[in-house]
Amino acid sequence: MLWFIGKDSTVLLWLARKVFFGYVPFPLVHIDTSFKISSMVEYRDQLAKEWKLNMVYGQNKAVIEAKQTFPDGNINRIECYKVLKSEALKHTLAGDWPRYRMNHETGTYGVDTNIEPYTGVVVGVRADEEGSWSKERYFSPRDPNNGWDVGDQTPELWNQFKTDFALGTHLRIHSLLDWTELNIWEYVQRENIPVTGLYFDQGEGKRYRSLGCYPCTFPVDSTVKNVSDIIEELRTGKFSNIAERSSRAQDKDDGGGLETLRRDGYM
Amino acid sequence: MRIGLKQREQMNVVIVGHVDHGKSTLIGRLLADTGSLPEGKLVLVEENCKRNAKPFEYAFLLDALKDEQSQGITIDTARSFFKSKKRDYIIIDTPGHIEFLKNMVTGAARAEAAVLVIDAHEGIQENSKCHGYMMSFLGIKDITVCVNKMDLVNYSEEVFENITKEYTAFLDEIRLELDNFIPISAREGDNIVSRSRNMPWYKGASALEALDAFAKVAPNYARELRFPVQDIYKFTAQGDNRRIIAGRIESGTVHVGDKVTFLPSQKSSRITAIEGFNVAKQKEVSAGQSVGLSLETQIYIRPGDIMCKANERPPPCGLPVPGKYFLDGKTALYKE
Repeated sequence: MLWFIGKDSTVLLWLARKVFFGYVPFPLVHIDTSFKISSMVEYRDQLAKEWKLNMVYGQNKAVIEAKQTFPDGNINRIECYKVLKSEALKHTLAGDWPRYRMNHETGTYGVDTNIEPYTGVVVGVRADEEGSWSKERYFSPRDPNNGWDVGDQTPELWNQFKTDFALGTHLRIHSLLDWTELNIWEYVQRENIPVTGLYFDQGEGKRYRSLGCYPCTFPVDSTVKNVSDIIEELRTGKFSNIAERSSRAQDKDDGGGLETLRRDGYM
Repeated sequence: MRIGLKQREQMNVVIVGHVDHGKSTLIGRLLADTGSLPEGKLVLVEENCKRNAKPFEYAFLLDALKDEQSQGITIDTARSFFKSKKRDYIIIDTPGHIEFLKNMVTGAARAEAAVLVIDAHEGIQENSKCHGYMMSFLGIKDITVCVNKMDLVNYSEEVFENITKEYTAFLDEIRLELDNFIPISAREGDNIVSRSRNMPWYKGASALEALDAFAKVAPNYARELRFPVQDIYKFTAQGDNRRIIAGRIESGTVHVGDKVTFLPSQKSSRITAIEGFNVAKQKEVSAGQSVGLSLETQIYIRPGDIMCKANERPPPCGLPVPGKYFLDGKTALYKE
């Protein structure tokens, strides 16, 4: 399961704990671009320890060390996203780049000895976030090159899902497709799920609505300090008509929304 | 203390019909006229159209893929979200092209009600009927027909009546009853949210009113217990000795202490606990809930077994399976 520390994937993680009665019987994968706001990583490790998660992260070390990233390197936002996130994700899942796994005895990360490819991932994308996500299936097979044939997806009838796939298929499971941003926050409130403090105003009149790397994600003006006020703000406030991902710069640089990135392996 | 969700009613509605009859346009219009679009989205799509020298279409709000916009057709089913005063909707847009029928069926299978769009100018076409048939096959009972593009036929009552008559005759053949027929123009906004002045002869509901009139089917609490076993969990490695039977209750209710029987093996046991994570201890669960159950005796059951109550009517079993089949393959089947 991909856990990118944001509210959606944290709700997804919580649902996994629900489904498996408090346990999470699979690894959680995070892609550390090194540009994540530092408190996100602290929050990740704190919950990983508390919930005894099988926590794994991967990263594109080469470009980070060479500083071939936006804005330092000669590279635009989309290219940066591709190398830091899509590439790192692809190789972390494939197991041909090092994976770092949390050692619960020491509380630190070490190179994972398991290099078997992950053949499927559970992802917390929502249909209301972005145009091409509105076309997803709950169980979506991709070919070995991450190819997504939108016109020829598996039929999904009622609540019957095809879960058997040919060898070599890379499977993506999207459990949150029918949830809206408001549903997420209502659930966070009902279940009292701990989310990172970045979603709340820390006294500067700003908060994040969607979390990404700091050079490409901007906070929105808001003085909201808790979950129930976020819900109120989304129901009635100034954000009710503003797209959630509008604070993500790389979306805008891609004329077709996230489609280019998606076809290339981005979630 | 846990806070309950203040839940608004939610309904999935699918929009079906022949290619180019204006399904995506109808949804785009509904979103725009009910203020359900993010700020700037309409302007953005208008600008994109101008830049690419294309006439603006409401459908572009839905057809998010580059291929879809360049060809002006919907390829895959898409969800969009909007609210009326009455409830929240997930509107499922579907492709009307015969080649993408499979995608249409996927979209429609998740719906509780349907709107079928027929082009007034072009009349009833292959997929108007095919999709109608699919609705009956999928078990969707609440259907409204929107006769679209009334502006192209000068808002003629006669054209509307003829289509209504012809399509009703077809529906009688497949024994499907409709809620209503509505003359609309999705592009011009006639009879979408409120009654249009261009068609004073029409006194019925607008498209939005028709959506709100769809009846929500209640879960089957009162029926016999049917619990398909999804899986059996044990977390021994974590020092947990519970053996939990997980699944979703399709109908009925189950109490701690109930005697239950698993089919087809006919093995019986008694419910000792209802398991859950981050929920208060429960004594009873019912239709629609996903739960875990512990049994008094450790019997061997498998995913796919059906759990029923020992004192209730068992499900009827038989060998011949009445049904209609279709194939999910990339090529047609040929007999050698």
